Amino acid sequence: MNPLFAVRELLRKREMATASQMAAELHLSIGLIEDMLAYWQHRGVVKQIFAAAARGDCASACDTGSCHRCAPATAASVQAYRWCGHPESAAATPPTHVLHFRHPRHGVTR
Amino acid sequence: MSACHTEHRKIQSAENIPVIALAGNPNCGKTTLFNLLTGAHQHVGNWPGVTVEQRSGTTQLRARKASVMDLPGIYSLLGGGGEDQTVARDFLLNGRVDLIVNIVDASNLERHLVLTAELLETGRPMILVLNMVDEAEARGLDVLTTALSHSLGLPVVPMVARTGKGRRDLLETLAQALETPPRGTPPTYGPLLECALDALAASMPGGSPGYRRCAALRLLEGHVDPADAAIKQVLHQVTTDMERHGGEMPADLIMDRRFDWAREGAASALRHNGRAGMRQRITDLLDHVVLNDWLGVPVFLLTLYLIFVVSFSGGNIFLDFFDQASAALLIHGVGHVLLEAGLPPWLVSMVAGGAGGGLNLVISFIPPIGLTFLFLALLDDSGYMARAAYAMDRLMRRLGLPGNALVPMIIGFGCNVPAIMGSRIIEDPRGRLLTVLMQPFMSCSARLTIYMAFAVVFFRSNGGQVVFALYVLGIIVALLTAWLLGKTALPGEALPFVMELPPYRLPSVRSVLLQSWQRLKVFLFRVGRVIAAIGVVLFILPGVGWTDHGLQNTDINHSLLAQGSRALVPIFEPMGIRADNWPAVSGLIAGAAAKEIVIGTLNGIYQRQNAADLMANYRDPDIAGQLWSAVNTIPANALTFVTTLNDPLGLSAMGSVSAIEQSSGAERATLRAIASGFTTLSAFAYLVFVLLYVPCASTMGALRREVGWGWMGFSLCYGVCLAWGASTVIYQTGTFVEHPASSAACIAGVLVAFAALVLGLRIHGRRRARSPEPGLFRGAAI
Repeated sequence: MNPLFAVRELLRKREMATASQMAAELHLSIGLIEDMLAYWQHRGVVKQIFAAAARGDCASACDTGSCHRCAPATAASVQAYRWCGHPESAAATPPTHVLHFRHPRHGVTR
Repeated sequence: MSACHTEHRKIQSAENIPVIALAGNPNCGKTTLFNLLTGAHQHVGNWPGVTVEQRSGTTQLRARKASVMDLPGIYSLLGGGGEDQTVARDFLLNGRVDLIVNIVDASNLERHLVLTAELLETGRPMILVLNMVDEAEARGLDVLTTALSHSLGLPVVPMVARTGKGRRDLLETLAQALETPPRGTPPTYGPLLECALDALAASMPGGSPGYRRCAALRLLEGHVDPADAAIKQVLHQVTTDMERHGGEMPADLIMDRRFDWAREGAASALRHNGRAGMRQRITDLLDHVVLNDWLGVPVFLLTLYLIFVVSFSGGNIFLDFFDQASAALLIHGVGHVLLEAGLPPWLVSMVAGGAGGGLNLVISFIPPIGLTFLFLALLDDSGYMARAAYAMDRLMRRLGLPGNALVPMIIGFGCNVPAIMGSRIIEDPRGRLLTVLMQPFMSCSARLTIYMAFAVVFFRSNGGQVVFALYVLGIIVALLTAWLLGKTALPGEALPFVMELPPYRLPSVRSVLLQSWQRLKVFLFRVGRVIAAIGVVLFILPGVGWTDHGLQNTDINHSLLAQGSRALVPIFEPMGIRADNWPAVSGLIAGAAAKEIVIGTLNGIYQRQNAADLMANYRDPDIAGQLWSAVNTIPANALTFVTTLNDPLGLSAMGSVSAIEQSSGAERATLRAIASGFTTLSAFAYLVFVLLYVPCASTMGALRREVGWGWMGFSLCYGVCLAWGASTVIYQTGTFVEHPASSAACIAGVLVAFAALVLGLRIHGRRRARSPEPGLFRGAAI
């Protein structure tokens, strides 16, 4: 397995995803995924964004037939990663500072 | 044990004692370990030229002293972080270090081992301290120290620095390591990179093999510039060769290998045990299936299918009990009490037959709807629903839809109004508009009552499949609508879907029951109230009609309701509504305001039509007998449920005419009237119309608010025309052999109209592309 390239290819395919989505799909820990994404971020092919997203546990919480309260609750800002590079540009930009992490102990659960 | 230093000084002291450097990621427990080794006498000093704090102290190892350096935490030797990390890196790479103690968090091993790989590549003597093993064990991980030591080629000391556990072993290992320095086994990088490293190392004039390899790695990673022209030439050559060969940059290949090496090392050193291990294995197994590229969508559809089939089949066990018992109490019982109380027959009829009959209808649907809510709550609570949305995302984007459009769609199964409001989570205006326009086709819970009523009458033995088919049809039409609009009137690119995936968990019984009850309660009170109210109104409305002498009291068949509905029946005849079935048209008209009213309308009209003597049931009802009869239906229906388990698709009922007749039998007056007004085919066409036409007035209001008058008008017309077209095609195809010419004309007419619609949308799309409007949502409230 080439985990670093697997992360890059998955994000290139999906264009945007959260670390937990990629961790579930690639069967890697969220922490390791974040580290690899940080690497690609510094390589200039990945951008970290805060996107409006759905909470995973609210997808069908409105099945009551009259619920208007849930709609605002479905919108939450999550930290996501967006593919923003091309292989050519990535190859042309060698890293000067390779790894720069945000939260050292964040999110390792698996 | 230790000597205290209170003055500032350089670490390269004149003292000839070995230097031990503590290195590791931030928060791995370095300082705790430092304090453990040096006691309370640690020294905090400012190094010349830097502004960051460094700690040094001394410790006693057997008969010799050693200096211990607490360096700032770093993630990599390659770069990144602040000035403090640069100093730590420089010290580890260029300072005088006799032994590196790499401290890693055992509960976070695969992240921390990436730095271990880099430290090993420096070729310096090193040992590994596996700290926080208690936290790893608390997470259900067995720490296999020997396996890790073997794979790294280093002494590994398991510790809990916080409590001092493992201190004695550490001191012993440190003493041994200073006497016999362990160098460890760095990662290997595969033939391609190893060749490049060898070539670069060979081009260097001096230094040990370890130093040259480390320098070659840093050159390949682009962190140092070679001063020597010959080395520069070799570097250029190997880099070009590698990029030509594999298409990847050497720096990426090196980093990929390090991550993989760390992952493999962690996997060999940690083993999931007990419940946590089992939980992880189950999570991996489930994710393999539900997030699989090919299996994810079929698994989601199969799950939905099973929910509806099991809900309907399981609900059937209690459906007759709820129906007969509530009829005995709310219709006959209440009617009898009111009649005995001396109330006039019209009032008794209105309260018992109208309101009571409506409530009876709603209550009889409690078992299947309650089970549906129960299963949906189970899926929600288990963490599956979020994964289903993620799995469906790929399909959505292939159809040109925004990935997160699925979330409002799932909400739409409950009610279209919050689903339309929930579309605000989509930032892209085009994606939001498409998502909003899809929502009216999602089968809301109000439509479920209509499906259930017709399923009970016409599809008793395979109602679950029919209801599932209608749900799926709604999803398909919604997706195709968005796809069609995306290709014609609203061309553009879809954005992907992001969502935090919650962990799988065993659903809590209390939470699931409460959630289901909350949904069922709201559903019952909302739908029940509307149906009961409409039942009362419909016992009054059909009593007046337009006659030669103006507005007069008439029987229902000559009432205003009948006259208006009869005038519209010809429009609906191509979809199988006969001229005498004008109540079905009344139901559709009323349903444009709210879907809950459809069944209430049919109930009120049919009861009034069919009752020769409305008071007969109230005079001397056998309430106890009816209740006992209701109880007896439970074991009988349970037996039917068990015997049909081996026929989940309900195909046995299609085997003979008698079986079909039996499967469509209805006991109650309203359902009998529905049975007499429709054929199985026309009933299905009617349900398709109900699914696709105007959802309700509230949904239209929400549409106008979110996307403006224009798109609301489009949605209204598109929905009605699509519903009529689809129902007509279904009915005419099913009866084609009876009247081929007229059926062919009808179907051809629908197809031509659809082609004209597509053409019109394309023209609109092109015009919009040439002269884009200032916004998509003219007249919208947002």
